[in-house]
Amino acid sequence: MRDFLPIIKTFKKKKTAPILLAFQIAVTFMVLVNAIYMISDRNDIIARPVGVDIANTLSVITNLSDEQGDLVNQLEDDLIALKSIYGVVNAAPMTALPLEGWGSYLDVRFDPDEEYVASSGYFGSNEDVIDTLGLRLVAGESFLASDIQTTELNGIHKSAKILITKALAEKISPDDWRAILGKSIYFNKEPHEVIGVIERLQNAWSSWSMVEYTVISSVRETNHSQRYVIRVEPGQMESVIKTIPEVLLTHANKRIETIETLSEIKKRSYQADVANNQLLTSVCIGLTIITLFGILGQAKFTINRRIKQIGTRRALGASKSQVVGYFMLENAIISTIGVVIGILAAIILNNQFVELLSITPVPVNFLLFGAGAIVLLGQLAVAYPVSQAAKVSPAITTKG
Amino acid sequence: MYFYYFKLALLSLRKTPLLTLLMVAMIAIGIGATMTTYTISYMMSKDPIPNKSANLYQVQLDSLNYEFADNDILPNTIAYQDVQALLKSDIPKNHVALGAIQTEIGPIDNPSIERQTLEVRTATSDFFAMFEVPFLHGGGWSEQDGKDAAQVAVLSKETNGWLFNGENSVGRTFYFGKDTYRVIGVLDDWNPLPKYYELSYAAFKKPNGVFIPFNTQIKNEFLTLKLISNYCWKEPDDQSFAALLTSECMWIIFWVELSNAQDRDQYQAFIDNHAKEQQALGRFPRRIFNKLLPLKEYLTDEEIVSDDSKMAVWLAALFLLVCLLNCMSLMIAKFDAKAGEIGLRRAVGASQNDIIKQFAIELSVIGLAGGLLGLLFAKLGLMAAANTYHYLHSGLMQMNSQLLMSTVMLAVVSSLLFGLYPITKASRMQPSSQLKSL
Repeated sequence: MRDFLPIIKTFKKKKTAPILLAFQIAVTFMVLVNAIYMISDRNDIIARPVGVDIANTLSVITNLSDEQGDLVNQLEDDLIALKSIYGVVNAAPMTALPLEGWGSYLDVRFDPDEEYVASSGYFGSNEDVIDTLGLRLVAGESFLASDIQTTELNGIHKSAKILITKALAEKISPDDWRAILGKSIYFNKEPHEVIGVIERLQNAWSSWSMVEYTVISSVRETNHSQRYVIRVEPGQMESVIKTIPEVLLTHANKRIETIETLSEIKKRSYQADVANNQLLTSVCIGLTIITLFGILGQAKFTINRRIKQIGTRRALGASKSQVVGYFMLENAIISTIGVVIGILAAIILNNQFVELLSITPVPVNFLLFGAGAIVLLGQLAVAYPVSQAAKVSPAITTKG
Repeated sequence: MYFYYFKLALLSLRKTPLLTLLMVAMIAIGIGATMTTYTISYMMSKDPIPNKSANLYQVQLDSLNYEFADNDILPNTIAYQDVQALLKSDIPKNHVALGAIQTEIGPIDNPSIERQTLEVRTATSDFFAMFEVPFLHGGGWSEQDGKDAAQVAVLSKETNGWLFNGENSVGRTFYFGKDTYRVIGVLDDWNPLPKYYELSYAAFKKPNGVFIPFNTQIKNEFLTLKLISNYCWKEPDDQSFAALLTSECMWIIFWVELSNAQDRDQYQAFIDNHAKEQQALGRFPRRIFNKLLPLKEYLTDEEIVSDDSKMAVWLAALFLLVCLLNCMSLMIAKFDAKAGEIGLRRAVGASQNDIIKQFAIELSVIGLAGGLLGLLFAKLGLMAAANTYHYLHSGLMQMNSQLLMSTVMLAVVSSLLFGLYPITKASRMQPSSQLKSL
């Protein structure tokens, strides 16, 4: 530590290079901390559970055709065919799929003439929905077969019994979410009785702040483009996917639009986030390498200039480790100055950044952790040139 | 004189090849990263139709019975009843109603090609003139054909390549669902970026491969809910298509081209008047509030350029800053090592200005080399981006000549800017201090 004062004195004499390095470290620190925070923030969002066993659930979109007569019969035939496949646990019709990015949403009201209290995603299905999606009922009960209504389009307008997610229940009934059971909520002026609360089910839009608010209504629709969800036993996915066309394509008018696992749908839903994370990661890696080079080059440059000085110190009795210690400390001081500027800038600029790019501000512990990491990184980068410097022979003072 | 400095510069660069290479690489990496992200953001936000973007407006009508979102925000789509009324106006130079459907398409006489389900754009006849769509063969449908719901279609170049081997297919027929449709036009390459006339989720996807008249969709009762934004705030009377048409459901995108402010005011009066008439009939229950949303505002409102891409540019710019700071340290080291040479040149009569000129030229050479190498890096970066952002249109990952030029410019200017301090510092050196050691 007694090297501290001499180091500061040297800075005063030759200040440009250390200032540049400190500034560079400040910018690097700012970018790294922000970028890594954004990456982890996004990863947390992507890791949120959908509420469904996505690896063992798949969706089929197929047509119901007017030429084949009654649509309801076709729907029931399809379901019987799908359930008959070996390895299928259960199957249900659905008006839209979790994270599909397309579907209906609604505004929830307690009184049709009042302001809405929440918005929510909407799925219409039948009594098999809980079992098929593997949902957990935390209060109330599921649909009975006798609850199910049928319509061709716009099931959302039909007054019906509904299930809602716990997140939505807590939002609209904050004091006691269980109290929502048995009450009616309105959308589009029609009352809907809440008969059950499910633990979790994300709706169709992963980027929506209300993705956890979902309503499942006991209205099945017979769309011309019909969606089914199917849960399979673990390990049976591939064979089930192979068998589906065989059992569904029973006549010339029948088509299959898509067969997709819910994992694939989730992947597509977050593809922009994953891509941005990749971009951020490559920026971080590039920046770290460049800064390491900068620190390394800077150390080499100062050491080369001070070969004689090192020799003199060694001649006067400084040990190798003392020489190493001197340069390590010098680098640590520069890094710390850089990091302090970085933290100040982060605090000052963060508000602007947050407003400009609508990102969440970086928490303080993250800043401190990042600061530690950067100083450590600097020490690592400086280690090699410094170990070379320690090898300078004291005899150099006697030359020239 | 400058040529001599240029020679000196090359000489000096050759003397310290490693340092030179490092400086060039630093600039190149920074420039490459910045231009990669900037290109994507620039291509996303550029004016898709510069010569008429000021004249294009999306029509938005408040036919709802309650507040949609924030008070001023209205759905992007309008109801069929209103479309019918608006199409009667002759104030706009062009107006177009847009829908989209999905159907199976296949060739009639070539069994080796399997049918495919394609997304089809349905539009009224002004579509091609209004959005300046280029034709390779034939043309769009006439107003009369449009009104008569003729079973005609315009194919994109790609679809024509798939269905008809890229031949001039005008007059030939193909399977469109259960019917046969006649080709009346084939488009040339056409990739407006962003695809502004569409719903925002599809802004960076390719235009649809098939176009048919809007009335043909209506007459044949085609409807693909997945492809439209259907806002039904009031339930239709029944499940039929006819009921949808007479309902309050808002699902049709409507654009108008208005040549000047006078037409604009006139048209605004026209749609307000339409709303008042409808109000008298019991529609438009809440208020008379109709918007002609200029194209540019539409693009900003819909946040077509994502915050993510803006953020990427910021990060890359900071990255460039770090690279340049690094480069600046290297410059200082370099000029420091050349102190003896500077002293000698000054002693034999070179002025401070001469030294500045000489080093500025040396740095310009480095900057230029960095810029050119940076272009290569940006090209590689964009290739990687095209891979990472595979779901976006690849046209976003291409530089135009303007961007190419500005890349090199940015490299030279920024290296000179960051060289300013090292150069002046070097030029101020006292000759005497250096000559002693020579």
